Amino acid sequence: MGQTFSFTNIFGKLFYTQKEIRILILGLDGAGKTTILYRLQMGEVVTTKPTIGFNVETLKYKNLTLNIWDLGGQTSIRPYWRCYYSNTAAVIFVVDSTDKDRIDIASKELHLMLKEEELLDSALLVFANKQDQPGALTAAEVSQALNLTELKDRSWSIVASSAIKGEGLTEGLDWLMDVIKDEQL
Amino acid sequence: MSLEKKIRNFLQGPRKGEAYELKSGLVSQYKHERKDAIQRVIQAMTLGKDVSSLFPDVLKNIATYDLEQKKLVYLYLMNYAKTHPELCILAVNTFVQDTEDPNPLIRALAIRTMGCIRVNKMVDYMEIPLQRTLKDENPYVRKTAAICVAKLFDLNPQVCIEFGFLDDLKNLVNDGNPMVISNALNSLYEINDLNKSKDLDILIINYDLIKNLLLVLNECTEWGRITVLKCLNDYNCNSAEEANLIIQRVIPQLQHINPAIVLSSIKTILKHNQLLQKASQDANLKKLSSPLISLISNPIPEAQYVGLKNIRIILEKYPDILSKELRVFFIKYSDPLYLKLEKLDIMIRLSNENNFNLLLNELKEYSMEFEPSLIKKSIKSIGLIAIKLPTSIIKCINLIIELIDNRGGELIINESINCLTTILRKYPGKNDLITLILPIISNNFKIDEATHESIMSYIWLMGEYPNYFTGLTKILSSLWENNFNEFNNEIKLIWLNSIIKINLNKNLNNEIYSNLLQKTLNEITENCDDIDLRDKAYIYWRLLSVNDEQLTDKIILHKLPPIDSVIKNFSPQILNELINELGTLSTIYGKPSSTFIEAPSNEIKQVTEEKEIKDENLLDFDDEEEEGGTTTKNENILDELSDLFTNNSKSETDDILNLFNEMNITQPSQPSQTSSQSSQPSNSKNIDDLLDLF
Ligand SMILES: Nc1nc2c(ncn2[C@@H]2O[C@H](COP(=O)(O)OP(=O)(O)O)[C@@H](O)[C@H]2O)c(=O)[nH]1
Ligand SMILES: [Mg+2]
Repeated sequence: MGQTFSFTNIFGKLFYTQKEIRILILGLDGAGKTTILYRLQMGEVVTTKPTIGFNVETLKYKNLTLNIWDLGGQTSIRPYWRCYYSNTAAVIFVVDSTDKDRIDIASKELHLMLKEEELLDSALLVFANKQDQPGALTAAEVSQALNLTELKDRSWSIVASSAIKGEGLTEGLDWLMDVIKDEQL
Repeated sequence: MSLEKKIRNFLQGPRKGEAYELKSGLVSQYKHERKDAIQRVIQAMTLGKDVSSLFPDVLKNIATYDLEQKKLVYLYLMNYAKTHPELCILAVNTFVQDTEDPNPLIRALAIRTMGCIRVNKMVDYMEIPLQRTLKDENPYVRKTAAICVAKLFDLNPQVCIEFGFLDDLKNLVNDGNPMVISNALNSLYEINDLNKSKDLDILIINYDLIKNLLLVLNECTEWGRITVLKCLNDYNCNSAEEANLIIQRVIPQLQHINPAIVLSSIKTILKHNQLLQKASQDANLKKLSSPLISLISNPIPEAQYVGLKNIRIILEKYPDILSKELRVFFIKYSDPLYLKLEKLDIMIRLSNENNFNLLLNELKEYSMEFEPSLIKKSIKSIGLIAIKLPTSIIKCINLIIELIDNRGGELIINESINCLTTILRKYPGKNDLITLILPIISNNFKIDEATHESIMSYIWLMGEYPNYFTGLTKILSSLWENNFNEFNNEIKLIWLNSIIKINLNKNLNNEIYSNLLQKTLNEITENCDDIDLRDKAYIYWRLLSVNDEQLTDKIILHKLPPIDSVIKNFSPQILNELINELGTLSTIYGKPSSTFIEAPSNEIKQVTEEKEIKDENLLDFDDEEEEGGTTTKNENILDELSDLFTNNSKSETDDILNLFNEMNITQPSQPSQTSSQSSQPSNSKNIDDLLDLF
């Protein structure tokens, strides 16, 4: 059965396709995940609706092909996150820095996720998002609220960001690329 | 099982083998490998392999810019959504996005797939996409969305109504695009069938709609035309002008190559034709004959069969419609048997004074064929013609004699005996016929080769016309000695009747007869396991011992009236229902759809102007039933009865019932003259016999 397509396989491997690096964007609903994805892909701010399901986009970044998955953050969808864990190089965890009420929930979800076996080797980038808003927690405050210092055996970083203004995103991604490119190539 | 556990189970999946390979392909880090895997999954799916375990991983590939891949994933989703209902939610985001895609193909594909995912959870997310696509600028998208409304209604009528989809759908019936109109109609019809609530207006057919439909009819696709024609048929015209307009617009459809369209058109024309003047009616009916014939020129035998089944019903209502077309129905050597038998049925219906010679010649040839059921039916048909057309009778009898002489054999002889006996039941006591027929029968009847039916015919004839048998005592004694014990109860019953009649015959005085009668009464009252038969013997016995000649003559020797036509007909009410269901499965079953599917709780509503005349409300059978009085009801009950018996697994009863269904000739001693009663089983027959006698 595979025979039929083998020509395309070779052809594809040689000329077209590059290995894609899988990155997940996770976080509670409304944190700005979808906005970040499309800001990275198109350089624009898109109007979003709650993501029932997921978005996935491929983008070239510094000669790497990134396959970025933006999963819905609603309570009802969070259980399905784990469907997407396998082969994941990195997780971008997005936090709404103005949503102090739910930061504990965010923390809980983060640590629950990191316990999963399939994610043991994944790097973690946290965006303390919505920094453009008054009263937003700083990256350090978010880091503390998320207990990031507790994380062992994992490359992680937290970056203050504003998806709307486009601030912090490339900075975060640059760090992430540095961490994962050696493993992936 | 908790959701988390379920998800973990999905994720475990297979560890090796083809499924594992596919699974890793689906989540590969190379785009082409993923597509390759999807193609292989679909291939496996179409081969009937269960690849539902790959659901979560296939689903991940739904968000893609590759249209081909998207189509495949959608296909997969439709197929397996039911196996993983809780995971379907993950596709929602993509569906919603796709219904906004610049490409109308993708928009239509998305809403179609969403509608086909019959998962309750999906309903919550259909609102925006369905609303959007129902109002899409592209007709292809709108027509797809229209169908989706019915699917949603099936899943959740409330949501469908509350979100206004039903109203949107109703508006689409006035769309500018023919495909959208016909799909919207179709969807409304489907909703009407699904609907359980009494006070929901679904499809309102008014003259404005009809006018619009008449305009688009010619531009619709084949399926679309059938739907539009259905709607045209469901409309009750308020005037002859309306009816005429519809008919004139539908007539061109009769030329269509698709038999379903031809049949729908015929149905529609037949319905509205009834409102016209007699002369126009006849003119329109004439126009139907060549389309009807086109149905049996179809190269596919199954399609011809459907055509024949429909023609058979139309012929019953309009017997003259094909009166000059007998030749078209002649059997072709290459026809499959079921077509041959069906054609025979039609030919009998078409037989008349002018064409029976031609037809008898054909029947002669068919009787020389090799398929037993064709031979049997051909011989039966000769009898049917003799009964239908008195002028043909001598020709028919001669043809049978010729067949016996030239070919003979058990099959032909037995069938001929039955057939001749039936002819005598139509023309009882006609000396010339009796002297012609009885010698053939007594010369050819061989008890060892006889069938139940021919034995019954033979014994009945002996009771009815004993004087025409030579050596009757010998024949009877031999049957008593050698065969009586093997007779079934039906034959025994006829034997009992005949032996009594012979004893009461004043021209026959012989001890042997009274001995046989005594033995018969003893045997049946003592050893027979059939209560009715036993009781009948007792009653006769009593009757004979009363010794009241007048009474016995009146009861036992009472002459039966001649039988009527034995061609099977529907009751008028059933016939009307079937005419209105032409082109549907009902015509194949020969039963109105209400007998095998649940009727929708709502009749299609129609807004009509005040001048609506009740009598012309041809669709409304409920009314008719009330007005129709007892006869219709009776026939209904009988119909149900015979339905019951058709399911009877006892093959013997079955065979007999089938015989009766085809032709009511096989039980000559049956004193009851109503042909419809003959489809009752022997037990109740006996009771009937008694009741009739007293
Ligand atoms: N002010 C501000 N609003 C943001 C920022 N990022 C996202 N949003 C808004 O937050 C809302 C939710 O964003 P969305 O990307 O849909 O969140 P998601 O549920 O995590 O995908 C939207 O109204 C966005 O415009 C940000 O950096 N600053
Ligand atoms: Mg989102």
